[in-house]
Amino acid sequence: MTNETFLYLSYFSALILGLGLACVTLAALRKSHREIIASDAVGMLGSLIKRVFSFWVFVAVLLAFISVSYIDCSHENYASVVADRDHLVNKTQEHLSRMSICLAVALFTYCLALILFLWAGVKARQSAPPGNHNCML
Amino acid sequence: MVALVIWIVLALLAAAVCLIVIGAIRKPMNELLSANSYVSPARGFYVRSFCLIIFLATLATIISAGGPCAEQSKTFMEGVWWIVDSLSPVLWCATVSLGGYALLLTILFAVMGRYRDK
Repeated sequence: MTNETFLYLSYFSALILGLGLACVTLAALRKSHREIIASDAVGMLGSLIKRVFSFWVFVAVLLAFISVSYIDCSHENYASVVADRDHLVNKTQEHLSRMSICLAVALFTYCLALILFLWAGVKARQSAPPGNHNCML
Repeated sequence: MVALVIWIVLALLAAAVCLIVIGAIRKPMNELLSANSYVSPARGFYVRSFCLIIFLATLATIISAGGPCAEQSKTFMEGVWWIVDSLSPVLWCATVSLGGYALLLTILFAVMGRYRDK
């Protein structure tokens, strides 16, 4: 396999693996996320956060993927990048590693954001008139 | 071939660390998140997120470790040293994730724990 073929294969395989990881993460959390929305804990914000969550996870993976650059001080152009197989292998590892860590950070920040959503849900429930559970939020 | 075996040993050890941390924290976290009806709907999500965060952080560190090069795996002890060296970031990642999640749950309870079920 030539280095150029390896570059094509590894680059797009890393992207597909990263998106697959995002899909697996979403699938693993879908049921519990739906429970939050169904329980009315976040009020009418539920319909919003349902869409925000998927978008959040995919954007995190794509941002991590595009943040890796093959060009650096010792590889200043395409020819020098393709000539160095070790560099290609390292960059593929960096792609996968960065996508995993960004996904973990995105999940963590979403968990933080969820505290705000839950708190807003409580506030809305408390300010709603007695017997009216369809609160303003 | 030797490099692959060494990498698989590292991956198994990292998975063991991951499972030990999750096993130790999962049950108390479940109990903690059942404190009141405002937090309990999010219990499943927080517990699963925690497991995924630990898993993804571990995965990131073992991928970035790659495999040992030929000079690093000539003898048995060189292989062991490489595994121990590579296991260090795994443990760091698990510790940071655990600390971060403890902080997150503290914030969650500072905000939501004061509300009592009527």
